Amino acid sequence: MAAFKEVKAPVATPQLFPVVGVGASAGGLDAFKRLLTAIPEDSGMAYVLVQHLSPTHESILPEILQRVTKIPVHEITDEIHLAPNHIYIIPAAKILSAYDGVLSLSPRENFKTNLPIDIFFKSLAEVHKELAVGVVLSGTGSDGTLGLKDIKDYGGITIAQDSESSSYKDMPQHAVDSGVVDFILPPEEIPGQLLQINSNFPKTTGVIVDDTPPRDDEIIFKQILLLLHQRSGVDFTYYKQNTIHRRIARRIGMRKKEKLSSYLKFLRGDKAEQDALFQDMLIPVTSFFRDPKIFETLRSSIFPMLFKNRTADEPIRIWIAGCSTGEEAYSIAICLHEFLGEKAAKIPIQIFASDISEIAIKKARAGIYSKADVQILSNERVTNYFHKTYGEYEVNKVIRDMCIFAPHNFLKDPPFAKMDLISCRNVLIYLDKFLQKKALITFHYSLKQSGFLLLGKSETASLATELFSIYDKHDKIYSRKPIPGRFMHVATERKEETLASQTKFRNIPETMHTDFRKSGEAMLLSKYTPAAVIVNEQMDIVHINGIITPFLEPSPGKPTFNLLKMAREGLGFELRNALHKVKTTHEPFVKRDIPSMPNDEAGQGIQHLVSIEVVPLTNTVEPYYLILFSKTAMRVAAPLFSGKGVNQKLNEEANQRIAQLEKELSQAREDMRSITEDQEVANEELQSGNEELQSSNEEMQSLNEELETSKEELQSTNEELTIVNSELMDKQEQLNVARHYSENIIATIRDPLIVLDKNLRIKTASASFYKKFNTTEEETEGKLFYEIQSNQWDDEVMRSLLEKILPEKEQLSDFEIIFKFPLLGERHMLLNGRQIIDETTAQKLILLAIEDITDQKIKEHEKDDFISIASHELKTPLTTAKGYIELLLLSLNEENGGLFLYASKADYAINRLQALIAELLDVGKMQHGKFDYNITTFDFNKLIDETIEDVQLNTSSHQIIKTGTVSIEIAGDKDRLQQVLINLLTNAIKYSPTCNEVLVNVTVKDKLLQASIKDYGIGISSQHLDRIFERFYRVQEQARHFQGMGIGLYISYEIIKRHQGKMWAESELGKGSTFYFTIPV
Amino acid sequence: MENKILIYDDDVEILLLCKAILSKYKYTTETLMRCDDILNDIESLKPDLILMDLWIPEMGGEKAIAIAKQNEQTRHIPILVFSANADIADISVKLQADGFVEKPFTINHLIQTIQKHLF
Repeated sequence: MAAFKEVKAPVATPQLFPVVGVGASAGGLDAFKRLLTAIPEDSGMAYVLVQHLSPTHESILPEILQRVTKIPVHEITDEIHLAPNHIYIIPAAKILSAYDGVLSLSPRENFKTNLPIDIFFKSLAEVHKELAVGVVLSGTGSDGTLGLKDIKDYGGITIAQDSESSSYKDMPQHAVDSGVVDFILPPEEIPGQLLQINSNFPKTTGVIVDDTPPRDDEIIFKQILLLLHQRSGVDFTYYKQNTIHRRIARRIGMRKKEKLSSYLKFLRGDKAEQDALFQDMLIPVTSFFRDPKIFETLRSSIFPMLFKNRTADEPIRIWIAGCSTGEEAYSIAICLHEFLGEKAAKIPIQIFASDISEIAIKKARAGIYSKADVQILSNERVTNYFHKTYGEYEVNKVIRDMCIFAPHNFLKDPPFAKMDLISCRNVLIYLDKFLQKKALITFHYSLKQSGFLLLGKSETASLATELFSIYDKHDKIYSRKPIPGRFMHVATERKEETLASQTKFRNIPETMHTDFRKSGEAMLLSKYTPAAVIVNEQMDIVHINGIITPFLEPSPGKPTFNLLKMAREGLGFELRNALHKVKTTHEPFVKRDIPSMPNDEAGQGIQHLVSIEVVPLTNTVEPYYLILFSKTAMRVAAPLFSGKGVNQKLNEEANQRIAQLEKELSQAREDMRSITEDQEVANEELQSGNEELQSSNEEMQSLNEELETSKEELQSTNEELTIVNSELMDKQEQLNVARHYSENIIATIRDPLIVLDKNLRIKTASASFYKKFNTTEEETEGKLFYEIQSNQWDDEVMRSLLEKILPEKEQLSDFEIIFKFPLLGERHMLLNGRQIIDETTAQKLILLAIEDITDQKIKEHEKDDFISIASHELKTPLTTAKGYIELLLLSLNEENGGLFLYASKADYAINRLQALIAELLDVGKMQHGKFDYNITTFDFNKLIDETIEDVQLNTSSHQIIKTGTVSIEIAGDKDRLQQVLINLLTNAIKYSPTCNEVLVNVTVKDKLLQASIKDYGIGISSQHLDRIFERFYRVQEQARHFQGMGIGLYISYEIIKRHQGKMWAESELGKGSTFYFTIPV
Repeated sequence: MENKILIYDDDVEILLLCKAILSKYKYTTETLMRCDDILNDIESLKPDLILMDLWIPEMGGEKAIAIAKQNEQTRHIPILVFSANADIADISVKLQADGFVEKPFTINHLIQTIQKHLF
């Protein structure tokens, strides 16, 4: 710790260097290290690292990071001042926010939503604006994205770590996906990129440097601005140069150009880049209800005043100048709607929202915002004023209709008029003083007598105190002063000329700039300048040179600087004429020898001849005129005819005549003056009329544009509808095809189908139903199923089963029923029924398939008969053969040797034949469930011993070994169970031809008797194991070598099943099989 | 004195076989391939035991047994159902016969069953 504590806290310096905020979470330490290692010692930037830290954990992050860099690393303490070439780290459990160049710590209160990166970036953006840099490194979650957006909005640079180098890519990726990131880089390349961007600016390592860049660059900047002006029509010359420079530098960095000149070259040839730069210049910082307190003030005091002196049908007009993407306009609309409540529908409200960015206006017009945009709003506002469309939030119609959006440059285009309220927040800060003043004058003109102007937090109307008075200092609300206003017409061409001449002007004097010249000029100016004034277009004096009393004097009444009001007698008229001439010709104009009669005491009675020279000033943006005055004393006219008596009378007459003429002349002058004044008044009226017309025109244009946009929207909606419609038609067609398809299938099926509703009323029936049961649609549809055809379908059991289908979701499967039909006679029917749901009406229906199995039944019957006759017929000769062989055996004995052996073999074969016939009969019976069981109680152990003995008698190859004994009486069919045992034992012997043992085991476990028969024979592969109990199933590989019909195991399985037992086998190919069965005891 | 067994069967081979077996065990054997009037047959042959095939021409075994069992004079004579029918046990109970011998049979079984019913 000691290592970095020794580092001296840097001294506070003006904040003219870039401040790099770096945020990271999981996996951030590695990224921090890589980033820090790459920072050169004199990068001229300050770095603030914000890491998600556990609030309870004492972090040693500063110590760790100090090891990888020589730049001093500080853990932030309260009120630390940022200095370039230092690194700062947030302590755990604290929130860091920046305030005016000072980082201040506050305890983290809410541990659930820990978004320190967002909070810090946001403050960083607000304080350092375009000097802020935001970097998001590895981490999980989405912290930092909103903060980056703020930084970008304020003109700063945003960087995210690339996903390949991030251990956890969530956080940077989220920022990238949100579109708020300028550069995506691995951490070690970030400092280099930042340095490159900043290299276009003087390095300000703690020293304030004149912020004018080198002259060459300045010229290139001007050219870039000129290019932008041509492309977009917006002149950025008088925007704050710092902002403009940073913006251009940012684009240079993004385009990977090294020098201004190469960027200019690139810019000239790339229209898209021009547009991109233009959009970058416009700084779209906005959000819903930005600075919520202001809206409260609007609601509590401003709105009530607007509505106080208002006639019923007078609209409320509000202008949002620089509305960006519309949030401000909608916020004010919502605020106003909330204020008015139910009255809102009755009062016409027009909110004009303008911005120079057409892209922004387009978005504003759409009125669709992301979830992130609206989450700042209360839930109530979101539900009241927005509706969700495709995951986004669209402004409701009632609010949308209050607003009119139009692209408009209030510095150039004629302004809107008669506004009650103008909101122009955070626009003036980007303008220099000259444009600020101009904007204020425009707003003054636009506002109604009692209108209000709303400015941004850091803006004031102090440049135009004569036009606005402070209404609410804190919320920056100004009220309009009741003096006549007039907006300035600025011909844009003029500004360009000015720009050009300005540059020229600068070029020349630079080279000969010396001190003596300057002081000499000052001397000349003070001593030898003629009396002169500079007036503006409104003829107000803005500057006075020399002594002007002989020509101008303050007029009585309210003090004014108006040239014409101050002009001495005789001059006013000429000045007006001269100025008028100059205004139209833009050429200097001289008027000589104007007789002027000063009416002050000093020059009493002495008439002067005054010369005035009016020169238009060329190097100004606004039109200004220099008026030079010079006077020559009027020679006193020598009496023409003095000393001559004769002439005395003449003289007198002449004098009289002169006096009379003079009187007439002055009368004429007076007339002329009053006429001129009248004309001037008329002019003035015309002009204000004209201004109003222009304003109205502008408004109309905006409205028109809105309508055009609406029309376009309607057209595209229409287009959309047409497409959707045709898609629907397509679907319809497909549906038709599918329907025909299934209808045809149903029509072809021979089995009758009917559909019943929940009351068992027939909804539809298939053609085969009508045909089969000889009925028609009319006779069946809508009727109760069991009532049709004179109740021939009425069957208690079937009805109750059908009625169960819907409520219990049961299926009727293979339900056999016999109906006696008057026409068809007795028929066996197989019914299958299931629930179907009509999707459109949600109605539940029953689909019932009726299969006539009468013929099948008859066939089965015939087959059974055949089998019993056939087996009977077989048995008769068998009986004879068996009898004779037994007789033969009786009469022979072992002494007869070979003969006896032959007879016993024949007897064995006959017995097997008998067993086979019996099995075949059994199978037939089982199929029809006619297999009879003769249940008795017997000793199972005895049965098994006897069976083993029997089987052992007939085999000499194998030894049957029994283990386990069960002394238990079970209930079952003794013969059948013996049949099972015999089957399993003979199988075990049959399929283990090379072995000599079969193991039998019996146990009782958990009230189950279990028997197992194990052999060491050929075994059964697992693929067959599941199927060996099927009827007639034979394992194919063995079929060739072992005889059999494949019914023994089937019969055994069925017998055990009927005893509520289970039968299964375990086997391994080549190793042998074990068959098990259990019977409950 | 030798007991007399009357066998009804439509198969001449069976009849010959039975005759051979029974004579070996000292029974007198009468065989008939038809059964038109069982009471008359009993009257004339006076058997001690009857083996009755179910498929016997004219009246059939079932009917013949019923007639014999309903007659006071003849009901005491044991009648064994003699058939290849798999349900022979049920049938014999149903017909109130005294027992049954299922075909094919073992000589042992035949002799034992007959002996059982003669005493």
